[in-house]
Amino acid sequence: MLDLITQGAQTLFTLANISWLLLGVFIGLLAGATPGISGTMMVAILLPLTFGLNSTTALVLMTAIYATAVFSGSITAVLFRTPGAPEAAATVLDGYEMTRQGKPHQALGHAMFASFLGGTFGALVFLAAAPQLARVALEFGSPEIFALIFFTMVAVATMGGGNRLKGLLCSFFGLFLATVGMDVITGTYRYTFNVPILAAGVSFIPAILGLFAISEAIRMVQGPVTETRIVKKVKTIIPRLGEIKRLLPTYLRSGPLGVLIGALPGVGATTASFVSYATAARFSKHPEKFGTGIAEGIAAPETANNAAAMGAMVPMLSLGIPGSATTAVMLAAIILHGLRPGPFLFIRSPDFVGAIMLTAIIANVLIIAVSPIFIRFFTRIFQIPQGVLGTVIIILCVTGGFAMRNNIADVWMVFGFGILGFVLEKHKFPLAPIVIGLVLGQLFEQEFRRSLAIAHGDAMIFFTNPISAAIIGITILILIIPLFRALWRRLSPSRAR
Amino acid sequence: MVDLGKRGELLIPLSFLLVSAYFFYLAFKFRGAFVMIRQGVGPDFFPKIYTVVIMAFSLWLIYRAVKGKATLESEKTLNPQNLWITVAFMLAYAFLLEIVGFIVLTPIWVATYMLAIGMRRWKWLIGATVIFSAFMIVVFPKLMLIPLPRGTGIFREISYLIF
Repeated sequence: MLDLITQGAQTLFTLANISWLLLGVFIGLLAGATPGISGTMMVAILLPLTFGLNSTTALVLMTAIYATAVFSGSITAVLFRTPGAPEAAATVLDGYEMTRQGKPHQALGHAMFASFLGGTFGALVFLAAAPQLARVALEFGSPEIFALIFFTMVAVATMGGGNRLKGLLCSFFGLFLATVGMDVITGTYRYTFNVPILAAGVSFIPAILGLFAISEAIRMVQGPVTETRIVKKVKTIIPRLGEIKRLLPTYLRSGPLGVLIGALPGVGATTASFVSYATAARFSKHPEKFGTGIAEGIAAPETANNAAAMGAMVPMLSLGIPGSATTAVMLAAIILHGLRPGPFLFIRSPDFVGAIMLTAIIANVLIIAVSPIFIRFFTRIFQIPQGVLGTVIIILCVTGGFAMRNNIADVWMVFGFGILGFVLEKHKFPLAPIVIGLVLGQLFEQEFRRSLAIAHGDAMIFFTNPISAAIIGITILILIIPLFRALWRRLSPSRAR
Repeated sequence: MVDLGKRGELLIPLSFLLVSAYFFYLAFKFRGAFVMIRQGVGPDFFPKIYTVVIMAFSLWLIYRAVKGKATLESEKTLNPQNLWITVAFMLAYAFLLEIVGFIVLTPIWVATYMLAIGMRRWKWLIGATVIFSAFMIVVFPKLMLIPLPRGTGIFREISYLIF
């Protein structure tokens, strides 16, 4: 490891590489905070432009963009309920609520600090245990991933206050939406009505933009349109030591969880943030407060998504398997630059691997150093009357929705989900379970069916496998404990009083 | 003005019930739905499960609404006409985008929409229209090389002058 650090440092610390790293941080912050431009898209666009750079510089730039874009998606999520990147969708739930309560500074501070912690932790794990972690990740097959998502769905559906029945309905509605499109196992078209774009399913980007941002824009213009909405200067307040201590269990839980989920091929930081959010709610003494603007609700997804982003780099470098969409593009870049990812990369090009690892750490540290300045400038754009802000959000969402697949149908989807979100929210139907169901639904179904196929139709595969059995066991406990509690209260009314 | 209010407590689950019942029916028509997939479940399995559960929860919510157990949870709207204006403008935007194209439609849409919802601060109205439209054009098609809709006919030609 020391060898990797010293060789990596020698390669990275040149004026050119550091300049590219700083440029990457700036591009990442801007891309992540702009709806419709994700870190993945930015890295993909820059891929041909990096041909002129050497392999290390190209990957330094890409890693810096990747690390910072995951965080900066939360800026617009917190301030305008418009997640700049899908990874920040879970941050909307409590981040925006905190902003509505007049505490955008604290919300941004929590997001920034948690991202820094998660990202740095992920990068350190990446540095210290990349090959070992990759081996653990490979132990996670279909039954284990299914169990993990099952746990998340149950935890989300049963958490929180308000109307649980409506929450459950919305969860299943989200899962149902995920079934639209071509069934990847049999090739059967489901609910596509001969509309070509529906064959690829309901993309969750237009759904997220519509449900969260358009619905909010509609709500916004129903108020006094000429009034300015947010406080004059949005500063970022880093959480106090007492708060950090209080949130320590959340950080400690979400960091490793994020790294592990990130290291699983094809799962990614968006899933990690939702799983972490649900886990934090499940472990909390006050799960009903989640979604009402609490720090844990920001710390959990933000720690996990940044940790996951770094975790996704582990299998990319050590096994040549990308853990996320962005790392898939980065993998392509590595190959195009004539390097071969895998265990031998650590032996043949320790300077390259070391430089990437150090970039990941530095980029995450720079989140805490640079983003307060960025946030101050960025939010100045949005210190405008509500009517103008609502209009800006609508156009940003339309463009963002369209940009993902260059298809006009996505614009209709953005608006459709926007109106649906507005109506549902007006009647206190929670929107988060719909998004979570939609994001995780396809994976949930695929892994279930794949597991059964592996086991020749024997459902016992979920219980004979120790990891999946343990996760399913915990999930079943989550389901039955409240029932036993209710029964206990009913049988002993004096206790309930 | 239509206030969804308490009626929404009944109408929303009723809509979920009807839509999911229809989709449950459609699930039987999936190609290969009746063919037992060897060593697993077919493509209709999950859609059927989900729609049945949605129907069950919807019925439960309808029962509560009818029995008067549902709490009236809807919010009051200050400026309700803007809801319909926004919906109409959004539909018009989606419809016209392919015909008029992003470059011509967006500034016109931004200005007229803001006027329609009651924005009368002219500095903001003009400033937002010009600056924001320019920002979108510079960032998306110019910097990010994202091909935004160009429209048809003369609108397409205009768009080629800019990006």
